[in-house]
Amino acid sequence: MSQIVHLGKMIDAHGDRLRKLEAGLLGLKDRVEAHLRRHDDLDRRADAMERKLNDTTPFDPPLSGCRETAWAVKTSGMNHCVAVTGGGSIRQLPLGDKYVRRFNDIADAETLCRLLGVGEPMLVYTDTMEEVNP
Amino acid sequence: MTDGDLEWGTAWVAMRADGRGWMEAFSVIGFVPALPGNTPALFSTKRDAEDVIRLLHLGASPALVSIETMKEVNP
Repeated sequence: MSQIVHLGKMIDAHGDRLRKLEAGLLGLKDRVEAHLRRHDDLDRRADAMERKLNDTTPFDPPLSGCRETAWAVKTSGMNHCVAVTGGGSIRQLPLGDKYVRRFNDIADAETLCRLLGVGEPMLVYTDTMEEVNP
Repeated sequence: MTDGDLEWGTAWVAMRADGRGWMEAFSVIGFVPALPGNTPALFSTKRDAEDVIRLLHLGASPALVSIETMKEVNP
């Protein structure tokens, strides 16, 4: 008889643990669902932001893939540009040379062309110093 | 004299900071000795000389020279 009572208590105890585990699992499930909802919301907001960016800056490739560019003054058909060496000498050097002068604004390149009486502005990628759309 | 003014027979050049050279006419080298035999790049306004100095990052300043003597006017 006492063994039956003991087994009954054990079953009750396991039942309690099982209920607690179930409650814990339900809480975990709720948290996972809430996290997924938040994730979906962030995804939607990121999509909306990207669409807005593409609307205001319709570049191709997309904004995240844009490369930095600058203006140089091209002086000949061999992709030589106005350059100023470390010693202050003004030279015509190949486009990829580190001393080639670069400008953020095309107006500066145009002014230099006018003042030197040579060359034309050329848009280049600053990472490779290749001409953009040659 | 104000910017843009030019006395008759003068022009603006980009004079090296130490006054011993000026910016040569383009396609040769940057600075050459400021002597009559060496032709500097001439600019009609001080502003143009300042612009070329700024855009090329030259250690120079505008100077007014006599075209006849190639000497600085009122240095």
